[in-house]
Amino acid sequence: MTDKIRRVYVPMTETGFYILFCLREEMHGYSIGQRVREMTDGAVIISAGTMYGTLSKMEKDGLIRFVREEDKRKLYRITELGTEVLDLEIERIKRLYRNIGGV
Amino acid sequence: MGGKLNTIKRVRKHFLLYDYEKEEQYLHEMHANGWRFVDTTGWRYTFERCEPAQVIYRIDFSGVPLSERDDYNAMFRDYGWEYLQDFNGFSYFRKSADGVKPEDLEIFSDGQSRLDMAKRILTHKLFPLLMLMLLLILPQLIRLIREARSPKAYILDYVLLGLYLLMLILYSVLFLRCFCGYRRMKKKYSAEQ
Repeated sequence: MTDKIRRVYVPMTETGFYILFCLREEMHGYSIGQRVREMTDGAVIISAGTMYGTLSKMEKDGLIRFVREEDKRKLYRITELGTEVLDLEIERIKRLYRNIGGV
Repeated sequence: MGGKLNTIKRVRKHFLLYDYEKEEQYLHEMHANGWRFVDTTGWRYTFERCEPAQVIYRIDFSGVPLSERDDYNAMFRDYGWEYLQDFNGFSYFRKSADGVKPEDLEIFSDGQSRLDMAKRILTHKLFPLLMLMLLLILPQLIRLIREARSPKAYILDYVLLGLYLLMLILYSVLFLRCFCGYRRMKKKYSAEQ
């Protein structure tokens, strides 16, 4: 992992985190948005422009990759680098949770 | 809806590069007053008569070429946005606000992506404008100043010099107004993060 990736993605925004988290499965933008909405009971909303921009940026930075197209929608999946970043984030959030008295 | 003669309205209006939020608001108000947006040429807006309704208009600057918009268009459609047109790199969308939660009436959900858009306008539109000024107008202007100062100068040389000076001033004012617009939006979006 390069310094640039570390600087941009660690720590990560909630939007970025959930997108990477969802892309452990192959998905397209809108379905990620719907999934995140369900997972967070509507607390985290990712709008169309933000979703498109974040996916483009993550693809360019090699965190996710384009898998295939379905009805003109691009499906993405997390890469090895993306998984590395995601795991780092998960560890950070777990530590955070432990330190505030969670289990 | 027979009887009414004026079913099309054309309005001369122009918004600067960073006034897209004002433009969204303007289109929203027109629709609320019974005028549905049809299209714009940048200087003229065409509307058609409709039932007054609460409709939200949003303008995006994606930087994506029209030929590579399949995925982009599909995503906005999935999110419930009706695509209207593209003008000068700006994409126009609308959505009825009826029974829709406010968070679903935005195309950006954080300050960072709004800031990213403001920066895209900077690199795609404002910098080329500056380049045009530096590469086309300035060298001509310098040449004309030289000619006007020579003893053999004609009246035409002065007229041309005047025209180029005027052009330089207009370009500078336009550029500065747009750049101030960028600064204003940047400040606003940075506070949202």
